[in-house]
This record gives sequence, C-alpha cells and structure tokens, in this order.
Amino acid sequence: MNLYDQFLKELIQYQFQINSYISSTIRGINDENLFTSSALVLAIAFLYGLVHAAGPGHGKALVAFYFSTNKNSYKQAFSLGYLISIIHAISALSLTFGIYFILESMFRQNFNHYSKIAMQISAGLIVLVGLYIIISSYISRAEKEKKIQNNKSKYSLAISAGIVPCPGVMTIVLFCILLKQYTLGILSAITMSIGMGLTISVVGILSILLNKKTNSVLNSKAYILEIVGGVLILGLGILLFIINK
Amino acid sequence: MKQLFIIITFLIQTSTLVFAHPHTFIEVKPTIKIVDNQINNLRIKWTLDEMTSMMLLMEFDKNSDGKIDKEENTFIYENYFSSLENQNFYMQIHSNKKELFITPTNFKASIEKNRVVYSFDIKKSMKIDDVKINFFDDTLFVGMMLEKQHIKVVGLDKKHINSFKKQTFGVN
Repeated sequence: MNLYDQFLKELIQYQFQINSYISSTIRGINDENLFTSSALVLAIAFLYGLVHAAGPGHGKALVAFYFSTNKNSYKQAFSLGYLISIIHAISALSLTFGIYFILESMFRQNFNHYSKIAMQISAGLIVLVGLYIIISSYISRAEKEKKIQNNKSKYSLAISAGIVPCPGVMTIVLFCILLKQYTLGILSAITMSIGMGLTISVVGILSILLNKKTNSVLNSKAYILEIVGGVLILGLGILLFIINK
Repeated sequence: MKQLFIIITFLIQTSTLVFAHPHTFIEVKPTIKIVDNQINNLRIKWTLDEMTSMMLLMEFDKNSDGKIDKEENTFIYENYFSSLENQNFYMQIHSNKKELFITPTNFKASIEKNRVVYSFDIKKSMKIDDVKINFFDDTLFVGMMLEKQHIKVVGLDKKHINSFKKQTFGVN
C-alpha cells in the first residue's frame, strides 16, 4: 500500500469514528443533557468538517488552481474558502429539508436523483468558469491589473464548487431530522461547513505561497499559466459531467 | 522548472476524483474457511454506519417491524446489493496474480443495534499462499474498514493465523 492510500485509509478511519460519535451522541440527547450534548455534537461536527474536507473533493483542486494562476492575498483565500463552504451548507440544508418534507416516503430514490442533478449543474458551471478564465486571460493578457475580473471569476468558482451539496452534511442533517432534532441539524451543518471552509482556505493559502515564489519568473507570461489553469478547470468540469451523466 | 512543478502538482491533485469522499462507512468482518491449504469459502459481513443505516431503513423496512423479512431481503438484493457488481462488491481479490471477479451467494440483510448488516458468501477455491484480498471503494464514496481482530480464520493452525492475515489482508 502506498503512502497516499495509507493516508486515505487513516482519514476514512477518523471520519468513521467521528461519524459514529456524532450519531450516538445525537441519539442519546434528552432533556437533561440537551445543552452539553448539543454543544458536543457541534464541536465534533466542526472537527468532522475539518477532516472531511481534507480528503479528495470539496473543490480544493479548483481553489488550488485558482490561486496558483491568479495573484491574490491570503484574505481572499479565506473569503473564497468560506464562500464555497457557505454555499455548500445552504445547498445541503435546502435540498435535504426540501426533499425530505415534500417526498418523505420515497426519500432515498429522490435523494440520489436530485444529488445527481445538482452534480450535473455544478459540472456545467465549472465548465463555464474554465471557459471564462481561458477567454478572459487571453483577452486581457496585456493588462497587469485584473482585480475586477478576478473577483467575478471568484464568485462563479465558489458557486460552481459549492453548489454540489456535500452528502456528508446532508447525512447529518437528515439524521437530525429523523430524530426530530431540527435546530441541531441546521447548527451542525453550519459548524461542519465552518470546519470545511478552514481546510479549503488553507489549500488556497498554500497555493498562493507556491504562486508567490514563481511570480518573479512568471510576471511577464502569467497569462499562459492562467490559460493552463482554465483548460484544466474546463477538463475537470467535463470529467465531472461524464461521471454524473 | 518551478512552474512545471506547480502544474504537475495540480495535475496529480485533480487526477483524484474531485467530489469523492466517504459518506457511508462499512465495517467488514470476513470469515475464511480453509480446507487443505485452500480457501474454500469466504463469508463476508458488512455492518453499515448508523446514519446511513437509518436512511436506508426508511426504505428497507417497509412494514417498520424492525426486522428484514424475506420480501424486503429480495428488494434490497435487487435494488441495492446486486448493482455493486460494477465495483466488484468493493473487493479486490488477487489469486495467482490474476484479479478475480466475484459472485456473492446466500445474501442476507438484517438489522443489528440500529445498523444495517449485509452477509454473503463467496465460493472460490484459492491457494492460501498466493491470495491477496483488499476491501476498498475506488470512488471513495464508501469507506471500507477492516480490523485485524474482525478477521476470523477457520481450518488453519493457530500459529499461522497472524502471518496469514498479514499476507492476505495486509493487516498488521
């Protein structure tokens, strides 16, 4: 087993332990321990978010691309990381509550069905972001200052990476709904997303660090790298679309 | 060189499946029956995590009696279990340096302490000294977990059991 596989196995193991702990704590909530148990669930949900987002996925690759091909500050890495996780949480909450209350009896099939549609929409948006980056980088290759455009693509990137509801968040929300702990469900989705946002932001910061080191060499030809990034994001979107066809 | 390094790093990053990360966890408990240095039968037991189990039971336990009856078992097999054939039931078995594709039999679903349990047999004859078994979902949507103490070996001398587990399942 190589190191990466070993890392993934360890990560899965940790997530399982946290997942089991959350479910047994939620199940054990009663009037007497309501406050302490709820606080415990929220703290664990935060940790779960941190670890969960460290595995493959959650738009980290997109964030890494974005910050390695654009000049940005650490503050922007945080804002993009959190923008993704907020959209992630809203999407998961509205989809879970919406589908659950409308289609309770047929829940499982519809849950899968709508997750798939959300994935397809997201894949389509990622393709558009890729195209946008390629075209705008090419057109504005002579311009040094591209702040406004950067912000525009930042929001479109956050939406496309975040709109795919995280099934991890959805599972916890649903589990809380089933046990009639509605408020706790919403709060744990939020704290879990705060944890995920932190991990995604760290990836952004690491990419900026890498980017800074290469800036002096690349200053004149930065647009080439941007186009490469755009092409890769485009490829990623197409790949996702094929997977979720 | 540095820009090349960045591009390669991110290419590797994206080559991992972008949205894949486990949301369902399965504890695997295999029982291996050995006769004359050949694996004669593999009985696999999967215990799904509580959250996933609760979602699935909404659909599985149609009459809500807390048990999986024959009809419900058939429904689970046809609608949920058999489609896992595409992923070779989250197993990679290598015998004689060839990958084997499996056909589970005697499928049985049940409920144990609020958790869904699947049990099934794999009837394949394999020499014990050249078989490697791994439980893993390539798409990473399901986290498969195997603990050394959950592997049961029947028909092998006690002193060889630990080395057999290590060699076959890669557990220490």
